[in-house]
Order: sequence, then C-alpha cells, then structure tokens
Amino acid sequence: MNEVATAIRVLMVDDHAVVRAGYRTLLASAAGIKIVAEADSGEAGFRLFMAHSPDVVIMDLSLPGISGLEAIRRIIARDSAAKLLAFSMHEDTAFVEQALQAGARGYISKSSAPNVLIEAVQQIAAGNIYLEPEIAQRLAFQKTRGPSSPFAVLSTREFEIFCLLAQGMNAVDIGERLSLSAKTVANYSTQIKSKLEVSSIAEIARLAIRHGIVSA
Amino acid sequence: MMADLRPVVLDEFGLVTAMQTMTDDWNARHEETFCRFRVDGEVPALPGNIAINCYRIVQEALTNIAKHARADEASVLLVNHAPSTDNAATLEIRIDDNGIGFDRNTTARGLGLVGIHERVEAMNGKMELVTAESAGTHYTIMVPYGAREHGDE
Repeated sequence: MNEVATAIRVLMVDDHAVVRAGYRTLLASAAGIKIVAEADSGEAGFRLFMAHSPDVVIMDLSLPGISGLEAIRRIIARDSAAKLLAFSMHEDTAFVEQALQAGARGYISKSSAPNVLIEAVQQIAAGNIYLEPEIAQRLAFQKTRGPSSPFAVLSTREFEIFCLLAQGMNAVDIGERLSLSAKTVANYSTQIKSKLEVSSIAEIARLAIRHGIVSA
Repeated sequence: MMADLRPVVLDEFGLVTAMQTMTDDWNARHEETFCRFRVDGEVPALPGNIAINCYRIVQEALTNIAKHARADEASVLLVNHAPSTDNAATLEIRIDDNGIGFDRNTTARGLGLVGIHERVEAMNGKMELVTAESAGTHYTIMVPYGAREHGDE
C-alpha cells in the first residue's frame, strides 16, 4: 500500500453536490485514487471525459438531462476501452443488466459499504469487472431461474425510454431529454409495447411498478 | 475509420446486443427513418468471424438505406434456424426498407452492396436482394454456421 504508484485518475458524475463531497472525502482517504474532475450531468460528464481521459468514471445512473445509461453509451461510442463504474440507488437487476449492456465494467449501489466503492474503483482500474457481491449473487440467481427480467429483450435505449414513459413523460419531453425527435420516441414506444406485449402506457407503468423500477 | 474497429460490445455481449446498439445509434442519427430491430428465437454465440461479418453486413445495409433509400421505415430481423439433416444451423438476416428502391439494370452497384456480397460469400452464405423502383429494398441473407444434424464435414 505504501508503494508509490501512479494514482488512479477518476471522473465522478453525480448531480448531487453533497453526494460528490462525501465520495470525494472517501476516495481521498484511499491511497492511489485521485478525483480529477466532477460533473453534475451526463452531458458535462461526457465533455469532461473527453477533456481529461480519466482512468475510471464513476457514473450515477439517475441524472437530469441525458441519463447515466445514455452517458455511458456516448462515452463507450467514443472510447470503447473506457472504464466505467455505474453507481446507482437502484438495486433492481434490470438496471444492472442495462448498465453492463451499455458498456459499464462494474455496478454498485449507493447503499453499499464505503470500502466497496474503493475496491470497485481499484478493480476496474486494473481492467477487471466489478459487481457488488449481493448484486452479483442476485443476478446469478435470476439467470439460473430461467429468463431474467422481461426487460432483457429491450435495448439500452428502449429501457431508458420505458422508464421515462413509466414515470408519465410524453414523447416530446422524452425526445428533448434524450436529444431524439418526438417521432423517433413514438416509434420506440410502439416497439417497446410490442416487445413487452402490452398495449398502453398504463400497463407500462404497472409493469415498472411491479418490478420496482419506479415507485408506486 | 470506425469501420475498421471491432466493436467491443460484439465480443462482450454478442451479436444481438451489438446490433441493438447499432440500430439505436442509427435511429438517433436518422430522424427521418425509424429502424426496428427484432430477433426471432435465441441467437447463440457465433464464431468470431461470422459475428463480425453479420454485424458489418447490417451496418452497410443501414448506411445504404440512410444514403439512398429515402425510406421512413426500415427493419432488421434475425431468425435462427436449428440444424437439420439437410442444412447446417443457419442465421437468417432480413433487412427491409419502404424506400424508393432501385432498378438493378440501370443502377450501378454501390460499394456497399459489393461489400455485403463479399462478406456473404466469404461465409458460404446466400443472399437474395429484391428491389425495384418505388418498391423498397429487401435483403434476405442466410448464413450457415456450425454443422448439420449428422455433420459429415
């Protein structure tokens, strides 16, 4: 631990200043980790990624504007070797699957112990994949029990639109948020309903509640 | 430039996720056309060169649609066919659009189409292209992978 090594350079993306401050203190206490930039939105996170080329990005999934999933997608599209750790209050495995599918190398929930974050950053920086043990176990359980969540058939983009539809947003608002035309969003909406075999937004909302993706 | 990089998503998550991501990106860049993506049945992990060739074929076809088709709808469908005594396990790729199509007698083949042909041939696959003016463009591509039921290869 006392060896002088190059510090792991971290970009942290979270919209809550208090949360960032807490993790800054936490990560500063770990040897060999240095936060080089912080962003409060996915857009800013993408820009800072391009500017700083950090070793690891800690990405909150629930962000204003483009979501964390979309930010992960954009970063991976630019640099397929980028090392991203998704960090979320969601413990539902559907989010975990989607984050990994979008290109994240790890996933931990905000309720995990402080040393888990440090461990995750170190593992991911070393080129490994890191899943919080509890989440990894649940994921494994689901896989062995047969087809996992019904959302596995959705692409990252579709899952993202599904979540926003479930929250009651309309195509225009979703389009603005994701930088898509309302028409494209409407087309996705049709495709999502067909893949999930539901016919209305109300059914989408019910499905989301049943799987703990939005709260009732 | 991008075309020469093997997408990481293809190796880590397989052809289906890679194609999903590709069509999502394509839809974000082409507001005038919406491309659906469906999979019929489970697509197993494919040998590396087959996966990348299939991926590039769909990429080329989508590029052609964006450049030439003036379509408002497009669709990519993957259908997996289990092996039989006559046929190896086969992946069927269908790519359709409702655009202006082209007359194959008067329109020179673009580079994209040549590239698709070469990739299909390299995999010992078969390709059928149906198009005519104002009739859209429809590709059906059959890519055998693995052995036949009583494989004598």
